[in-house]
Amino acid sequence: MRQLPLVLLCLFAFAATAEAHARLESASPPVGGTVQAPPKQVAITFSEEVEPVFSTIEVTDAAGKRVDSGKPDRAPDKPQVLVVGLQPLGPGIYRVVWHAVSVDTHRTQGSYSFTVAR
Amino acid sequence: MPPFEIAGGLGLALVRGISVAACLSALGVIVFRLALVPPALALADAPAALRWHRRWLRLLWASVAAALLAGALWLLLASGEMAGATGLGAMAAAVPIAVLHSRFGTVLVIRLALLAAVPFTIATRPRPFRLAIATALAVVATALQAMFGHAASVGGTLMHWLALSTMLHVLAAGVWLGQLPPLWSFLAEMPPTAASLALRRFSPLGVACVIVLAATASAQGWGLVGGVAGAVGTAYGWADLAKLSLFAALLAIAAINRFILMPKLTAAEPTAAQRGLHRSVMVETAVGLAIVLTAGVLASLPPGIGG
Repeated sequence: MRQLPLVLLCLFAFAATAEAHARLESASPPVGGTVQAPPKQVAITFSEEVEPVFSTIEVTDAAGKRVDSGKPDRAPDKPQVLVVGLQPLGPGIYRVVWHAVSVDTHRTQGSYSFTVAR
Repeated sequence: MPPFEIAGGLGLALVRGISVAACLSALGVIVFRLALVPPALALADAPAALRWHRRWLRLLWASVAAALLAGALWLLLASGEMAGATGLGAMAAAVPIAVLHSRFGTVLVIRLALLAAVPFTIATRPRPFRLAIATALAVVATALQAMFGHAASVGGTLMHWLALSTMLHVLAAGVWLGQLPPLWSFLAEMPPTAASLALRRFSPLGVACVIVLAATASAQGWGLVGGVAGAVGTAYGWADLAKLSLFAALLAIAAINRFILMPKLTAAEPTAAQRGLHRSVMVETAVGLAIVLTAGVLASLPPGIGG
C-alpha cells in the first residue's frame, strides 16, 4: 500500500503527454523540402502507431501520374512509421497524399510536396 | 459550443459505449454472485432465493448477449470506418481484414469469444469454482478495453502506463457499475435483512472503486483534455465535463443510498426504505450507463491536447 501514491503519481505523469489520432510528425523526403538525389522511398513518421492495411500513401508527379509502388508498410520495428517504395524519379515536384488509420481505428489524412533537384 | 466531429459518427460511438456497458455488466453480475451476495442470499427463504437466482441467470445471459450483439456491430462499423467504406457490403468486406490484420479487430474478437464462454462456464449452477473461472474470463475481456482507446496507440513505454491506467479504470467501473443491475434485482426480491447485508458488503467495494475511477479518470482526462483551454474550447473537453458531471451525480446518489436510505433498512419500517433504495439503484444504473455512453463519445473525439 505504501507504493500506491507513487503508482498513482506515475499514472498522472505519464498520461499527461498522451496524443490521439495519427498526425504527421516528420517525413523523408521532408515536407516541402528539396533533395539532391532521387529518393527510393517515402517514409512518414506519425504521432501514433498505424495500421498499414488500412493506410495509404500515394505519390504523384507534376502530371498527376502515380510514381509509388502501391501499398505502404510499417518500417521494421517502427510501428509509427509508414514506408512506400518509389519508381525511379526524375527532377521535379512530387505530391504525397496520405491516409493513416491509427491502431485506435481513427482515420486522418494530409498531403505535402517535395522536390527532386535538377 | 465547439463542433462535435465524432470519428465514425454518433452511431459508432454509441454502439461502442453499449458494447462496453454490456461487458461491464457481465463482469459485475458475476462478481456480485461470487463475492458479494452468498451470505445475504442465505438469509432469504428458498422460494425467494430461487426466484432471484433465475433473474440473476437472465441478467447474465442478457448482458453477454448485448455485449456480443453490440460488439459485432461495433466490429462492422469500425472496420468500415477504418477502410473508409460507406455501403454495407464494403463494410462487411472490411471485417475479415480488420480481424486478421488490425489490433482492434483481433482484440475485439478475442474479447467476444471470452464473453461468449462466460455463461457456458457457469451453466445453470453457479458453483464457486465455475464462478471463479467465469470471473477470470470476464476480467480479461474487460481489461482488453485498454487495447482499444486513445491510450493504445501512442506506443512505447508510455502506452504500457496508459494501458495500466485504462485497465484499472474499466475494471473498477465493471465492479461498481456492473454490480448495480444484480443489486437492483436483489433489492426487488429479498427481505430487508438480506438486502441490508448485501448493501453493507457492497458499500466498501464501491468506495474502493470510486477512488480508483477518480484517480485514473483524472490522470487520463486531464492529460488528454489539454488543460482549462481544452476543457472549455473543444468538444472533447465538453464531453469530459459532461462525464464528470454525471460522475458527480452518481456519487451524490451513492451517498444518499449509503447515509440516508441504508440506515433506515434496520429501523422500524424497513420496507419503504427498501423500495426507495430499489428506485435509487435503478436511477444510479441509468446514470452509470449514461457515463459509459459518454465515454464512448469521448473515445471517438480528438482530444483537446491534440487540437
